[in-house]
Amino acid sequence: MASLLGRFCRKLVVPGSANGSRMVSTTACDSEAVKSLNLYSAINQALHIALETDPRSYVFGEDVGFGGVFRCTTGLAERFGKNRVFNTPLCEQGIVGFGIGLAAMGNRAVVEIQFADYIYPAFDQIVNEAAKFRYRSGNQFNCGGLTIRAPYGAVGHGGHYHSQSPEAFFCHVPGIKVVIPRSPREAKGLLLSSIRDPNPVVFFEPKWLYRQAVEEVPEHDYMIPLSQAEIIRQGSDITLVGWGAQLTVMEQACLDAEKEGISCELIDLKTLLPWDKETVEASVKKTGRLLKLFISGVNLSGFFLIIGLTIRAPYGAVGHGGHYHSQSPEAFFCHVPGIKVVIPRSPREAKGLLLSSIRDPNSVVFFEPKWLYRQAVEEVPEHDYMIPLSEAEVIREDNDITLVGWGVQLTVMEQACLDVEKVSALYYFNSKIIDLKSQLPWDKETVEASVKKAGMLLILDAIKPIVNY
Amino acid sequence: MALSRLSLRSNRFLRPSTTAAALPSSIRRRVSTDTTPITIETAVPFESHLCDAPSRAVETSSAEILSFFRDMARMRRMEIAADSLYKSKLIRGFCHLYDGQEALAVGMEAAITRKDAIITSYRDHCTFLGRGGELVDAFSELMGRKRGCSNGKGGSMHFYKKDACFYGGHGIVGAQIPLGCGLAFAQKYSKEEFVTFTLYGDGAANQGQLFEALNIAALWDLPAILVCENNHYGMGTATWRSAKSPAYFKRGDYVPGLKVDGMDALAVKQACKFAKEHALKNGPIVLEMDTYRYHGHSMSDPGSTYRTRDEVSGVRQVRDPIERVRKLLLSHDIATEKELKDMEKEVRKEVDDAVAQAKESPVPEPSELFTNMYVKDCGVESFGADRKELKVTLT
Repeated sequence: MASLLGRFCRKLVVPGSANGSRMVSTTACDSEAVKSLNLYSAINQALHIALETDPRSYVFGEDVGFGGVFRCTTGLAERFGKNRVFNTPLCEQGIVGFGIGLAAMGNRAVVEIQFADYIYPAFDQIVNEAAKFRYRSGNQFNCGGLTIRAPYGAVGHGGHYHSQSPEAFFCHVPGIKVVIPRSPREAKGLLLSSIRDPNPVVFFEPKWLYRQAVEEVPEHDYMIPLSQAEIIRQGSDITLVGWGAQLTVMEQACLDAEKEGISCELIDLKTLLPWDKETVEASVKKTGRLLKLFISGVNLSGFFLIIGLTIRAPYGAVGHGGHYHSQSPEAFFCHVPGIKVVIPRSPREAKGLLLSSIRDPNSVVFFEPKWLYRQAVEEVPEHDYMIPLSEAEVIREDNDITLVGWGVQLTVMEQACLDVEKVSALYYFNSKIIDLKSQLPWDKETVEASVKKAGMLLILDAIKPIVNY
Repeated sequence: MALSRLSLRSNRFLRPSTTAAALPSSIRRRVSTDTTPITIETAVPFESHLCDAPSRAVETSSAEILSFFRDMARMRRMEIAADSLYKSKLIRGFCHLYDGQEALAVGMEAAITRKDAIITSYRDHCTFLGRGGELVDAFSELMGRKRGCSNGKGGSMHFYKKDACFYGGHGIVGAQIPLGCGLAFAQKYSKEEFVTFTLYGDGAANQGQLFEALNIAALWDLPAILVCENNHYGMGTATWRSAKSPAYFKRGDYVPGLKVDGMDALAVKQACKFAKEHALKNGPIVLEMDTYRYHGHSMSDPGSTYRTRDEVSGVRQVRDPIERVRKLLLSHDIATEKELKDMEKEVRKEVDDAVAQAKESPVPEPSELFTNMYVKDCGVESFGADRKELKVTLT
């Protein structure tokens, strides 16, 4: 690489050179050789560099050998051989599982899932194996060398299964990182960082930009740090946060807004998990308003409806459950329109809500707080009764702050309210508690009415509290 | 009239019943409705795994063979028309063509009823037609029009036909397999003696969910028939590069299997008939249909980067399903060369008319984007790019 740059520099120093193209900066040998590349070429370059610099790195997936369906892996098999760049059979679960195994032995496995829409069979491997490997082995083992690449996002003609944006699902999994570049230059740097990061990374590439986005990309080996958001446009009235392809749209929106006198600050999050909170917070402190935009929106797949499917699953921490018996996955499902998510808080609620769920003509995922299976005892009517879904219930009436919860943590919240009351003798901090019951679709009216009255809202889910004002 | 059964080998020209020979030629020609049983032997023997292979002698009739010809010709023309519609950008998105594999669709239909269920992958246009789907519904759906079989909301990969128990086309490879076994599960409860044919490809045969479904189907004796449409290429990957054991009919391990010449409509019919009887008595069975597709994986795949043009034209010359049936019809004197050509012309016109009709159908209303998410109105809201312009409650 150095000799190449050297040759280049010598060429530049010659005055009146026939080569008139302004591709390279004129500052002597510090110059960055850049090339105008589109997204898939930038990613291709990153992969070439990754394989070149680490002899124990591998690229595999469906059809990567000939270059891949988006040309991202062109030339790799020819250059590095079939032992390092190879095709797999059609099994995403197997591909990721194998990647985890390879990474666990200290290799770098750069795995390709052909379309993000196909990543779900591998979801279990990613969430339950990759994310938790280091923790559950007490840091003896890890699969940090794993990087999963997948094209994501709508292109207009992709239909149900070539357009999905599933990044939200992965953002609820501690133990992995989720990275999304917005342009060719970013992609190359972020991909190299992701591959070399000692944690498993899921790297989504906006397929819309594979050919559309062209940028000057430095030819050398460079990395862009993860978990660092970038303010790509300074403003003072409102903060816009986004990632990937929609930043293009957002930039246009900022220009349009400027015409109306609104100054927008645009932040590219780059790494969605773990995300750069400081940058966003600093910006919101400045502007006072935050707008977060992501593509996924409504997944419009209303084909052959599975009528009446109800999936029951015990969930939640019990104290001794460990990694696999304590998870609270309800958040994942709240991003899937077309299904309902219901969580009861007590035996009486459970019977009524479960009967409603079974008889509801939509598919329902019914999470049962396993901590309460034996612990919670209540008078339950013996007859057949149903409790309506999507109707939240105010279980404790008051005025100062609204607490929203579901399932098991309502017990904790009720206790918390009593404790707070005891402590604040002078200033009464009275809290209203709302049991949401159905997380999807949720009862917005009740919560809104309550927040209008109280002015403050605290949403508690089992894993970590999120404070929203 | 005695039921005359004669078995014919491929090269001989034995006339059927002597009574037919005595009839004047004008009456002999009207055989399209002749259901007199004929027995024909398949060219390739069946290979079996953990079961006795069915007999190679297939019971059929002139009417049936003629219907095979007409139906396959219609399917072939439909796929070719879809090809040119895609190239002229009237069909967008994805389009996976079935030409070369028509014998599978017609052979299967001949062995079962419309109450038996079929579920397949994204290469579903001809399967839809086989289930009694109309050409105009197919073309409308391909072009995303209201008249389409899925109201224009599914597209090429999602053809469905409820009244014919066609549970559709699916985009995710292998995802339809556990679904199909679930259908068989429901059928077992209904006790009505119907079965489910779950179709998947050689690429999907490496999916874990196939084996999970096989285990449960075998454990509970479900009337499920898993049909592997082995066209030898999983998109661009040949079977020998993706499967340790390309004997897909044996992959069921403890589940019996049968390997069938998928380019021979009669062999397919025999196998499906056998499989249905087996499934109702003994539980699941795997059928491997040895077939071939002339087009690439989809319209974005030229189909020539991973196989030679000679290979494709070789199969076309030697194993083409329509040519095979044509030869059968001619050698058995069921129809003349000219009659068959006329039939093809009719089919071509049928297809052209259907395309023209489909083009006239309007696209669905924009509000349709937000319907059929939920059954009852739950008040979930969705917004367009501008909240003020487009705000809709999902139904």
